[in-house]
Amino acid sequence: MRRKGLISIILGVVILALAGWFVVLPQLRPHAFHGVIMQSPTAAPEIDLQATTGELIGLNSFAGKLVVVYFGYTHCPDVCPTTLSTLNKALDQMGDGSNDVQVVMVTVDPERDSVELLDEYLGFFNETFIGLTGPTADIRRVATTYGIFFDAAEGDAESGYTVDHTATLAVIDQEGHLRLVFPPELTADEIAADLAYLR
Amino acid sequence: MTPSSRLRSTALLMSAVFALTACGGPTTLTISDEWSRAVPRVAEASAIYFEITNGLDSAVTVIGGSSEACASIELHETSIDDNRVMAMRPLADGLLVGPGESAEFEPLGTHLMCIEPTVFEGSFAVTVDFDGAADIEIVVPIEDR
Repeated sequence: MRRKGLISIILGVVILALAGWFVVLPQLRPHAFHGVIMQSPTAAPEIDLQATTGELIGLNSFAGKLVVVYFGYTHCPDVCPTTLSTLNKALDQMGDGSNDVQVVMVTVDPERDSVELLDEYLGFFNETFIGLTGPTADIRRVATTYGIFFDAAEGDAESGYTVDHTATLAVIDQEGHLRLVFPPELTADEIAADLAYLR
Repeated sequence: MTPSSRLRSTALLMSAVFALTACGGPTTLTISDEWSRAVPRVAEASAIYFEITNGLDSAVTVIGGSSEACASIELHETSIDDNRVMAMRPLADGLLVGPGESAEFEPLGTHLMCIEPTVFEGSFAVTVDFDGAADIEIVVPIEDR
């Protein structure tokens, strides 16, 4: 009888230890970001460009939301559609939480990317994605403040020119601070985990 | 067994050995896991991905492709430098795949670029052109991976 009680106590301790290890401990650990976290978040540079929603917008248009800023273009066959598709999958994984996230793509090819083209292109990946454009000088100014380089590279008659560009994504928090930078190789799971933690 | 029937048997055996050696040897160049990312109808370009396995005993070079679903197809490579700047360039000399080697055509890497795609769902046929081997026709499903 006493032996039975001892076994029950040992079993109870083991179960508690396992629960602590697998359930409680992970919740106490700090979130390990997949993106590069800004240790001293600074105010995100202003983005005052023409939006596919038909208005000139600034960051204050998205106050209270996490804003993911990407610089890309619609003639891009590989990196841009891959990134947009990954972002859509990340938002999908977040469920209702994705309502607190706004993805914007600033075109690095304003000569070919009209507002209408951007709108239709981005809407294919996710109806909530917003495109931003404007005069090349304005886009270059905004891009530079985000540490984004872009430059047209010579192509051929068939494919036209391509645009070399920094392929990272910037994440601005609900208070307008630059918080995180995603490298282009991140998966939807990793992006969703970081965004879910920040929201 | 007469000398002539023994000769016939030896010849048959030798043919069988030769045939078996030929069958078991490295004789295939294959393309697998082919797919193309779904893009909107306004897209001017899309990418085609797959894996090439060169089971031949000599090197082959992928030089491009063609498809009725694309105005043209070019072989491109995306590279990302240490500053995370993405650049995409045509591989003018093609992509060499050595004997016994494989080459992955994948997002953010080497791909066939379909210029002015006309098919946006389902699948489409693509002929992959090689130097050093016969061209291979594949059917590429359009997916959202």
